[in-house]
Amino acid sequence: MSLNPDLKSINCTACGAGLDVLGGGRVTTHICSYCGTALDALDNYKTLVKFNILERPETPVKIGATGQIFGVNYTVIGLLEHEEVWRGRSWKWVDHQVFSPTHGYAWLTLEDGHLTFSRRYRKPVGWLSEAEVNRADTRPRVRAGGEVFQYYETSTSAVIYAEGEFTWAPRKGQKTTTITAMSDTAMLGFSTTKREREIYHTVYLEPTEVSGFGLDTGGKPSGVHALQKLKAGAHAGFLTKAALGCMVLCLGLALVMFLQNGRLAETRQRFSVTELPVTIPFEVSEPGRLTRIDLQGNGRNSWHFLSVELEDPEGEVLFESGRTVEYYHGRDNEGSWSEGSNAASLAFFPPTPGRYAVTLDLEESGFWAPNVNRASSPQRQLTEVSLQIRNGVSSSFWLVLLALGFGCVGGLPMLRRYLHNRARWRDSDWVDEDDD
Amino acid sequence: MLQNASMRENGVFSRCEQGLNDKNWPMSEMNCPNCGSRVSPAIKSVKMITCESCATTLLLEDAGLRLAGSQGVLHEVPMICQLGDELKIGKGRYQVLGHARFSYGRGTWDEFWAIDGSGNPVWISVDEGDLILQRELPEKDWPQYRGTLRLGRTLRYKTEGFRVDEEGTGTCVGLKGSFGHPLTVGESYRFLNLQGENGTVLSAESVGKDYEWFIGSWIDPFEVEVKAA
Repeated sequence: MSLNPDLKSINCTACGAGLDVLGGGRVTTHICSYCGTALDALDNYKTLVKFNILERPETPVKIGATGQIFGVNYTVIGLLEHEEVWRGRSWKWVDHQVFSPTHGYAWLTLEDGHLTFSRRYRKPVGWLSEAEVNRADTRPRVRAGGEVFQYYETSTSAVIYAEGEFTWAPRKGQKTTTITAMSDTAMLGFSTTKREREIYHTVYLEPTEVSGFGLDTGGKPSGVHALQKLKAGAHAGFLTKAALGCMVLCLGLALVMFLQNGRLAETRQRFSVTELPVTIPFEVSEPGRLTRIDLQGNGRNSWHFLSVELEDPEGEVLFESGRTVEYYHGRDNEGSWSEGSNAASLAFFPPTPGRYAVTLDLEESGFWAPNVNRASSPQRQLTEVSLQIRNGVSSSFWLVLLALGFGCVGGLPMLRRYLHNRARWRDSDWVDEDDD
Repeated sequence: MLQNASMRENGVFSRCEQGLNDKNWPMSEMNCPNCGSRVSPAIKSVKMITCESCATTLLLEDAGLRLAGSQGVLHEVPMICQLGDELKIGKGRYQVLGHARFSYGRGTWDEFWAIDGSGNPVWISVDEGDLILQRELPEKDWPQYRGTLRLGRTLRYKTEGFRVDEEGTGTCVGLKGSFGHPLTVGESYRFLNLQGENGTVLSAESVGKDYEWFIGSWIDPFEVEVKAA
């Protein structure tokens, strides 16, 4: 309904002030900005009730301001301040009724510098009631317009200030209970008053989607709004996919290298500790390829430092090194536990082929916590040690490290998305029963 | 002038060479019985057309064109679409062929007669950003109910429950283009809108004892793509 083009302004029938008529034909109530009297637009602007306009809320968006939302021209025709009181705390916000002759009526809301845009929702959607929310064991959800909306919160607010033109008759103190449900991009509000119920669809307005209205575009909104989209980098999607792809590739290659276990240069030999030190000769057929000496002990709740000395085919000492094998286990009030390992290994690159010799000795050993209750943590010194040597093995260590690096690069946007989503839902009043 | 006067007396005029049943439709053209200007009904099922030259409305009858009255005045107001525009709504495309405006006193709303991609007629009601796209229901499919439909009354149609959400009267104040059934400037139409629980909208229009029923759904104006004529 386009308003009669001749009707551009009226005089308030209570105070005589001139009032611009900015809305369309659906406007039913005009609340005078000068005296606060609500006038019946359908009945020669007869006076209805009076609002206290001395308590005008602070807002940079004034009645009569014009601007564009999603490229559509809108004019601000009314201000409405709501208050929600819960457990002694109070929240207030201002809704701005905006009107477009082509796209109708909507609400522009400014909250901590964030702008949202709400319109009546008329697509098929089931109703979400307070009773249904109270009965639900899991977070209620509704489907609408191809999206899934999950329950967000229930709030009851009252109108505490009204000024301008409205398509209904605001009453001071009039309470509205709204159940909100949120999708990735929008929020549905299921509002119920004593007389009617309506569904509103709200989206977040990015600075590029709104202009005019006297808004200070330089101001920075504070915090994360529930409807705010994550500002991901321009190539965040590609970066995530590419990095995760590289991670998978590295892990695949690492697995292939891990499975290349070389050939046995010396089969597993087992020695009693009393036989130590022992010298074990072994043949290296592939010089320059990684060769690994694997050690295995059998101690319990004890540690042992095994020294390793390697001689090359010429009898020259190639290196002296050592490895600690230590294994601890026990039981406490939380159950069984274990720590450390009786296995150890060291690797080297043999420079020439030929017969090498490794000398193994037990250099030091000890018990862990000698005063511990031995009934629950039996202790045992190393009694035998076994050794195995493989030549031509591959190490996947650096590839795994690289995969972790790629994982971090690819996972960062995902982590940001997770943290952003957590911030979006932080004000939801839904509590899972598991969280109680 | 004499010829035109004669036409006005008879209320009839002669067709052009190409008739309503011509296969080359919509190239068919006729002459206005009032001013003689050429008028072109947009499609075969058109029952009424306005003459741009003399602002009269013309009824297409078997015998030819008959004067029906004035086409009224359509004041320029911001509108989401215009006569001749092509609208893309969802997967459907609609060609706007006729534009009617109705007044309820304090303001007006617009109704656009259009055809879809298959040539079937639809009505697009435009009411300050509230858009409804509807098709006429054949009489055999009309809702069945007892008594009178009033605001708040509910009824079931097929599997959906409906409630009368809006009722009122509108007076036709202006016409432009082609229409699938006659409309008269100055005539008042009673209308009822019934909102379905699954989003369907049923509407009834009546003039005197004549009824017409329409069924359709709400359209989000932000989801309408307009290709200007």
